[in-house]
Amino acid sequence: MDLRIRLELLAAAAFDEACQPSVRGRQSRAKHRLLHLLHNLPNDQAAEAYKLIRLGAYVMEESSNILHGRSGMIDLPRVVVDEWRSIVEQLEALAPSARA
Amino acid sequence: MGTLLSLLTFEQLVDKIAEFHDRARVGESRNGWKKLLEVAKGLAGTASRDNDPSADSAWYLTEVQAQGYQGIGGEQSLSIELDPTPGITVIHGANGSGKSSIADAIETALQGRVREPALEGRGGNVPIWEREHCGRDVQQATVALTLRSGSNSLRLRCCIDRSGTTTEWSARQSSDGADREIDLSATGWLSAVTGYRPVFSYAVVEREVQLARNLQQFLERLLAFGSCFDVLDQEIENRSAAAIEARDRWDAALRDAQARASEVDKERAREDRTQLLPMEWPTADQDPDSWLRRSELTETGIALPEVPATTLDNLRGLAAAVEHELTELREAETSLHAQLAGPLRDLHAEAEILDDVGDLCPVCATEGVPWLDRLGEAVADVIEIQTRQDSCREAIASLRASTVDVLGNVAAVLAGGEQLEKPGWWQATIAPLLDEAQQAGGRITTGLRTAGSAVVAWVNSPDCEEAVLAASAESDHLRQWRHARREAVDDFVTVWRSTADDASQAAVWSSAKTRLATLRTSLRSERANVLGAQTNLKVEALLADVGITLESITVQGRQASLRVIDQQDRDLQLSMLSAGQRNALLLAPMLAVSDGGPFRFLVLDDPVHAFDQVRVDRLAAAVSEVAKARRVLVLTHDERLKEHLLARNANCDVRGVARDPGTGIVTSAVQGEMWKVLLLDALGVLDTAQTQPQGVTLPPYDIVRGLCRQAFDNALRSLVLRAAVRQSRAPDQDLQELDDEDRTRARIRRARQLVASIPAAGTALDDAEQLVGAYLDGWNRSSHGNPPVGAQDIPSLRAEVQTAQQACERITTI
Repeated sequence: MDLRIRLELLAAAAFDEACQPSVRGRQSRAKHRLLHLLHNLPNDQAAEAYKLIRLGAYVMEESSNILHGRSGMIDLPRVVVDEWRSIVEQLEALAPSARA
Repeated sequence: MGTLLSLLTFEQLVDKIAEFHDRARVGESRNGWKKLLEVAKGLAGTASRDNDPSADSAWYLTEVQAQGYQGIGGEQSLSIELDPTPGITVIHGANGSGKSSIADAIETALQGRVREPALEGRGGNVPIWEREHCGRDVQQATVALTLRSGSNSLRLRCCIDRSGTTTEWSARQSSDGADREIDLSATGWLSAVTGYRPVFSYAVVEREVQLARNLQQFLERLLAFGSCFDVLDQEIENRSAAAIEARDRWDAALRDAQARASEVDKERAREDRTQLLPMEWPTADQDPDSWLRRSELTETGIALPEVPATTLDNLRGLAAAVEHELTELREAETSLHAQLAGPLRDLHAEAEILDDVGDLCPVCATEGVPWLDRLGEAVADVIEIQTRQDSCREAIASLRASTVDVLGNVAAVLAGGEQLEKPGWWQATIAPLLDEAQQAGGRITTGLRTAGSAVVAWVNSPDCEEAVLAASAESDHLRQWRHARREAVDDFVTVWRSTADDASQAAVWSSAKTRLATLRTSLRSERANVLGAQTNLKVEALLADVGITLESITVQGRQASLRVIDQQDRDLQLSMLSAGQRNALLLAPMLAVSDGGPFRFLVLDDPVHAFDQVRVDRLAAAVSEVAKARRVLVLTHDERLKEHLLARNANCDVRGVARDPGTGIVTSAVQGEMWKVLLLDALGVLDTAQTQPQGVTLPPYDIVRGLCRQAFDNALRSLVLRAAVRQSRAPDQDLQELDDEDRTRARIRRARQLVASIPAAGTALDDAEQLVGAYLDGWNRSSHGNPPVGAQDIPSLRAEVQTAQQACERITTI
């Protein structure tokens, strides 16, 4: 749950930073909001960052499946949690606030 | 031997054997290592890797074709093209869509025959899950692969008849513009296919590994000894077998000769006759001619004394000569002239020195005669007597010498060839006479005449006749006996001469064979350790969450074991593992060995069999790691695995396969090209901005244009890649040239050069550039963080993405 929340916050912040919406709407399309982490990213980091964002979107989707009971994984193994945490941390490092 | 299990080369084998040789003590062991070293060096000197595609190559699989193979119908050929670059290609389809047929087709074409059935039997033991490789409605199945290593290509084609028998397996290699057929069975190719097993199907491996010995066979192959070891093994086996066969022939021939010689000896040996010495039989390492000489069996004659049948006649002839000379001498000496010879010679000698002898003969007092001249003539006649004396002496000496020789041989023959004392009659009778007859020169004495006459008398006596004839008979008997012995051993000697080299080396070859077994054990142990360590990394990647690790792999003789432990370091029996864990454990070594071989591709058919979701994710991570250096072809129905692989890999494409149940035609269509994914994401970004209740202040132009640029680059790479394959160019080099250009417009120019010989590709590039030309500056500015140019509203950006889609479509569908 913690990781999922961090990803949602990250996606929302990335979108807000990149597009500066006049009014905050519903936080749907989290996967595509994550892509806004590419905003202002140096060209040589873009490819790796894109791969990481896709992984983040995958984690978002899988964690959503677990939280909504759509997955058979009830007790998520530590090794998976650690891997997901690592992905989230790498994505957080891409956030404009972290880059600054 | 390195940390990777590369196929053993002859040079590595030579080094390894030399180590053993240097450590071995003097004796059989050292001789065996020495022989092994000689053979390995010889093979290393003659082995050519020029025509061996498994040597020094890195083959990517670029095309698979199959028709009438398993579930792929015979009406239409299935053709799948694959990128010759590292990455992942997911072939996704429902059960029965032909995925396993594709994997089996690749395996069959690689090894030139269908897989051996895991089980065989009749009646109730007929295996019911073994696949029929030839399709249901065809007489012949055909599978073909194209592999590419740099600018070289290798085309494999295999045809199978309804019984599963290979009717054709061909390999055609194109290298540096030259095209030639290769007999892969004469190269290390099959060893590489066996050792690195580039096709993994869990269903197949599970059926294959049911018993402990199956596990040994499964793991032994992965130790990747390679063709060099096989060739060395075969060479030693052949030479050892030849040596042992030669020694057996030699032994058999010897036994036969011994039996036949024994028969001869039994027939010839009589108590009342002289005996030959027993034969001494040789060993294989001796020289046959020396042995024949020692055994008095040479064809040129026998060194021992012989008494031929003519001996007595010859001896008596000499005796007659002596007798004749003695008579002649005696007659000459009894004449008056001969009696006066001495005084007259003295008178002539004294008168000859006088100055004047006068004309009165001092003997007969005749006056007026040249008496000195007449006296000289008389003295000359005396010389004739001297000559006769010489002849007589020579005759006696000759008789004496012959008698000594003959009697020596007689004594030796009668004594059976041994050096014995002279017989009594010799000592008593003839020896003194012969001593007496020994006179070097000068006048013949009375004693010499007497001795000569006595020898003559003895030679003509019955005693001599009896002795010589007896010896002659024995001599003839012994000669015939030896000849019979020689005949008895003739075949043996012939076999000996033809097998001498091999037969004498049988023990050394046998030792070399034993040393090779020692070498195999040592290599097994070393390589099993390496395989164990590498496999454990993969086991940990797949099973770390359940705490299962692989402690060791042991391969010995016909036994092999995988020592698996749990989090508490307790041993886990393989039977305690779940189906998914078992799959992971069998898949792990495949992933581990893939780095060492000549294949830059790995085919995984249904790798998630019985996997839970965590295991699928773990596998996706492990496969992505492997895919950094090769193209991994994943055939699966699993949506989760497909999605995870797409998420993890920038260079991942998806193809869907489907099979028409009526015709059996299997079709494949590209589904998930990366440029499409990128542009869909670009549209997703625009959708997100567009759905904001009151819009956005900053449209995400830089993200969208960056994604467009990445997508167009990806499509360009795809075009250049396929063009490189068609033009037999090295894809890596072409892609590198493309990547060396920073700006998209320059990349298009470079791509145009690289595809120059394919007009359609050039036209497609022209069209694509015309479509997106107006946007290229904007894309590059966005990518480099420069202020934007052109329209930045969302509808314009959406039109830009759609144009990029058209351009990418144009250059990827030539």
